[in-house]
Amino acid sequence: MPPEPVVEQQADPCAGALHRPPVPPHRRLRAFAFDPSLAAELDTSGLESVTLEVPWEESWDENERRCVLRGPVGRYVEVIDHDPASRAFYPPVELNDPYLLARDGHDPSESNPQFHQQMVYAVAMTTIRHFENALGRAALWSDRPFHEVDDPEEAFVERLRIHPHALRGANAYYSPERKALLFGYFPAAEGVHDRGLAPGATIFTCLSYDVVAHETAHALLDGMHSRFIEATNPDVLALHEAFADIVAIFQHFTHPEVLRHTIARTRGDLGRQSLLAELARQMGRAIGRRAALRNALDPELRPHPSQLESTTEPHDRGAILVAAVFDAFLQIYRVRVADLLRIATQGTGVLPEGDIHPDLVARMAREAATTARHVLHMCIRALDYCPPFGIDFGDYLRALITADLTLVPYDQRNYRAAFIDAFRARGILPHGLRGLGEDSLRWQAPATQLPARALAPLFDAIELEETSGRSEGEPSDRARRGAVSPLRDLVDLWTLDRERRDVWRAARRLRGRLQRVIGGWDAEWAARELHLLLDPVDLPSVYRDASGRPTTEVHSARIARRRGPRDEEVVELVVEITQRRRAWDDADRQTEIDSGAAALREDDHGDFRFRSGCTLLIDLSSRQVRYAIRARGPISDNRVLSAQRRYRSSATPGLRITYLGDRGGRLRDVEPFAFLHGPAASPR
Amino acid sequence: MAKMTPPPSGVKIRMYRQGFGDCFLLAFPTSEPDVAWYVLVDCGLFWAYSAVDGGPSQSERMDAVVRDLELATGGVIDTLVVTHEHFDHLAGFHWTDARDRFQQSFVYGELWLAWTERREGDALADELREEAGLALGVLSQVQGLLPVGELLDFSKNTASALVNARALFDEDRVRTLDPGEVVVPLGEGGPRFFILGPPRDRELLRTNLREDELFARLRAAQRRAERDALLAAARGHAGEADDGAPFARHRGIRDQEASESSFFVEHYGRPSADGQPDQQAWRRIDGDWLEALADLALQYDDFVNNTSLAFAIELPESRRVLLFPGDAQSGNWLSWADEEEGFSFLDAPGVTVHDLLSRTVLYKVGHHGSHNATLDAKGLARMTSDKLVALVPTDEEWAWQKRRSGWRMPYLPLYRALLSRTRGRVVQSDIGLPDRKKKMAPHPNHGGLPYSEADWEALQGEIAALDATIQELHGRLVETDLFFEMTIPDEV
Repeated sequence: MPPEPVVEQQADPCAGALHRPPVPPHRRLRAFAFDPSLAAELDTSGLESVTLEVPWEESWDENERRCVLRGPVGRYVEVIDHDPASRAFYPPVELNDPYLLARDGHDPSESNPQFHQQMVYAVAMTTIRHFENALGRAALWSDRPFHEVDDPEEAFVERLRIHPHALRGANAYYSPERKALLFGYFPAAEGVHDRGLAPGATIFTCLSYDVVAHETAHALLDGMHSRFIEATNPDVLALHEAFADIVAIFQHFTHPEVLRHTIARTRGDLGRQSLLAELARQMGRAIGRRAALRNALDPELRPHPSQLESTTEPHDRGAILVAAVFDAFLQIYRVRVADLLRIATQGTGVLPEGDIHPDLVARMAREAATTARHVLHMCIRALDYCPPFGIDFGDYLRALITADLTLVPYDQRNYRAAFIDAFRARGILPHGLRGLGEDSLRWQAPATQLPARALAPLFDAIELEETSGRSEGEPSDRARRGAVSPLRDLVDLWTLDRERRDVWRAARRLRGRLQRVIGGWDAEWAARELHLLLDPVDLPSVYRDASGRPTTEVHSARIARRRGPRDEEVVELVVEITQRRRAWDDADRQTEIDSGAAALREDDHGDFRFRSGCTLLIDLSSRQVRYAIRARGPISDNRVLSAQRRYRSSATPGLRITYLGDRGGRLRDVEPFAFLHGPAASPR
Repeated sequence: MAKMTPPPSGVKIRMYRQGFGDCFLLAFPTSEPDVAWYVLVDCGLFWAYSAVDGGPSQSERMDAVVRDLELATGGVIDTLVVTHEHFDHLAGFHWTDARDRFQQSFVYGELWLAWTERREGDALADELREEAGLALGVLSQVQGLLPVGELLDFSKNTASALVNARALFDEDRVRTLDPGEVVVPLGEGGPRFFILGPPRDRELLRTNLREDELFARLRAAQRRAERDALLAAARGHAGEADDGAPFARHRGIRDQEASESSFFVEHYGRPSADGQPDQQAWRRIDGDWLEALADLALQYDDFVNNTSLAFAIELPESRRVLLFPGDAQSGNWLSWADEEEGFSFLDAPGVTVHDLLSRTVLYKVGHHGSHNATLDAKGLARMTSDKLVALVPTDEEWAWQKRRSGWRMPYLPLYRALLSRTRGRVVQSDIGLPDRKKKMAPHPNHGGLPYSEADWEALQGEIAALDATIQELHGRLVETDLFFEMTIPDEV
């Protein structure tokens, strides 16, 4: 918190007696609800802007001796407006300017760069808040790679950087390397003006709510699962895209005016084409498409069996998942409004001709908003129940179901059934499962639990660590006395109001401790239940310690803590453990190395990385492993390795690789999260 | 040097060794003894080429080649084939001495070009040419800024070089060829030329068929608008006016002013160009916008390679095949090698590409052996003849040492695949057969190697195991400083 404004010593006596209001919880900021194109269309004119409420933040400016929010540079994001193509910097907005405070920020405007800065800030913060509310803890950005920093502390990235005018072109992306969102702008061609765009007008991707929310969601997901960048199967990057679209699309339902307008226009049937199911409307039209860039109700996305098989490009494949989730949403919404319809129609369920009653519109809008929030939160919460790498759509379905079962054991409104149904219709089936009932979809606990004493050091370690604030050494007095539950403190650290750097530090220490604890686990149990090899293996390609044991990394450790509909709290410790192995495109080479026929050079790290491992969800009250989500096989599994190799060889490298070498500079190849795939020349 | 006499049957083939570029001379027997029918396929050298150990200039190298061509053919080129518009296939028509010699010392039969070079009555060819010209215009303005700027050297001076080559022929002697055509220049009983690519429906195949023409046109217009905006930015960087800037001038401040603004200095740092490494350097975005331009450069380069006239020559008796794909990349290859596309030859019913590949005994490796110009499963894997020889025009050392980040040409995995398919009969224009393969030194800029030590060692083993066939080819491969030559007999 910034210091209170300094009151001059010889202040007016009134000052002491004055009632100062508390820091406001929110700052109100205006933004385009979708993008500027809505204002130009008769049907939607007046719906183009919304006022967002973002958490209040500001910082003390020593020179001006007052609190400012300039940039805006807040606690989560920083907006830096450099436009290198135009060789220009646009001065930062100051949102604490009293005139701006009085009018909810700048008015929506395409020609005012300070409004652009305000909008990207407001939309990114709103998206972050949805994410945090669903997870019940502070969001962290992904770390800088440790080999790039001198001091491990520097790996912590406090703020995501946002560049509203970074590119001259029809694209926008999240750069995992620079922890930044880069937005482009581009001219609309002659000929598109009949669709609400002036010829030659500049289209700003940073003024599209969807694009900003989508890219922010990429960054949030990367902050939680940094290995979901590694495309080890066709679903990994597609899931990234789908998740980002889901986060964008369900925010449409948080704009009450638009929602009521749409419900009135569609007479409550959200399965009809509307603004709400579309993504990046203006951008889609500007690049010469018939409609929005993506649409969850696109007839092409109606379920058909070979859909998944024939679609490989990440955005297109992701669209299938988005359509499935949107279907589930519609099913749930229909169930939720069924009673309203019956009341409004004297039980016939058939609405009379003409407009529906505004009260009914308002009630249905409320149901739609609630449903959308629930579905969005389910999709976000599922992220705690995912494998540490190599996720596929089937895994994600299992994660969704498990997460929801954990929180809401009795599914009165059939949310889970709706999801299972929608996924099944699109052929999204979890690997190796026969049934699609809740119980088979839910991740399983290990068949046998570790003996209590094997898990005890895990908890002891945490207690030692977290309650005392000491990094090493003796147990704290408190822990020894056992007066206060040390776990309580640990859990509290993962709440929303903590400094994110403290959370990050605690997670780092926790990972270190866990790493040592795991080394003491029963190797036979770990291999059987977790696919984790703790005993020496005779495979030189596996990364091993001096005694031949595969090295084990605790990739992530965090507390998942959330409240169910009856206010019951669920607290779990999520631990992601991985092992890795050098792998070669040439299978013979792999065999040579692993059989010992050829010697492995120290600097030879193979052509790609093969990983194994698991995610464990440990119940903090029972101290049992509640779910073990393990890789398809242990690190020694050559079958799984071959499958990954086959997938790799099917994805042909670009020309750029020849010309620039595999690590030839910082190029789009390593910016995997462009809003459009490939060069702007070929959308879709 | 003496005249290149025709073989009694089959074809004699000469691969020149001018450096990084293509030049092949073929001599077929005719009905008259000792009179050959000469085909010249390309005559080029990369624009910025200079051998690692120095040596003659580009101009001198090309002149040496053309002088030899004159001696070899007696000044008669029956057919000149220019596969595509890249300088490493055309330099001989650019450098003064070589060009003049081409003009003055030869008589010519026909010039063969791909349909994309058709000047009249081909709307698609016109459209593609215009599009490519536009892209090249944009890119040459910003070559210095681009991480892939050196790619544009492929296209330097090519248009004028092709004009020079065309000027050697009367317009009615210029033949533009379409895929599916079968050309029989020496009549029945002579070799047949099967034209494979470039595909005529290159754009159509990639266009989303769901969208009607209006939208396709809009998209094309939109691409041009975006390209223009990029070009405007490039002009701005070249000191001219930038009419693509998104805001009025007074809304922004210049780089210099930003480096005096406390906000930008604190939160963004200063450009690292002044020699001071900045803490913030890893997060700056100064160069990101150039990626779009680099993409354009790659697309353009890719596009030109894909316009390669790809053809297969079938010898009449043995029906052995020589495959010349130019520098065709996957788009071109797939249009004919993928049987699902239903490719067929109008005048040779029953002949399939699969069939031609299975009879291929000589493969001119595309694009100097880059990783993406030889189709794997549907291409090389189908060249199953036990007589297969591969010719790779390249200068491996130059490509690795003298390019900004090192080009791997030939790309080792491809080279190894070629070795195994040909049983070691891979002739690289720089070094010759595999037993002379040289290990590349670390790259001068980044210190990397083009392949791992392990792969290099594995290669040594593979080469040793193939020694018998390699030695056998040594025995029938003519080698001079200027070329490699071998004969493919037409015997059943």
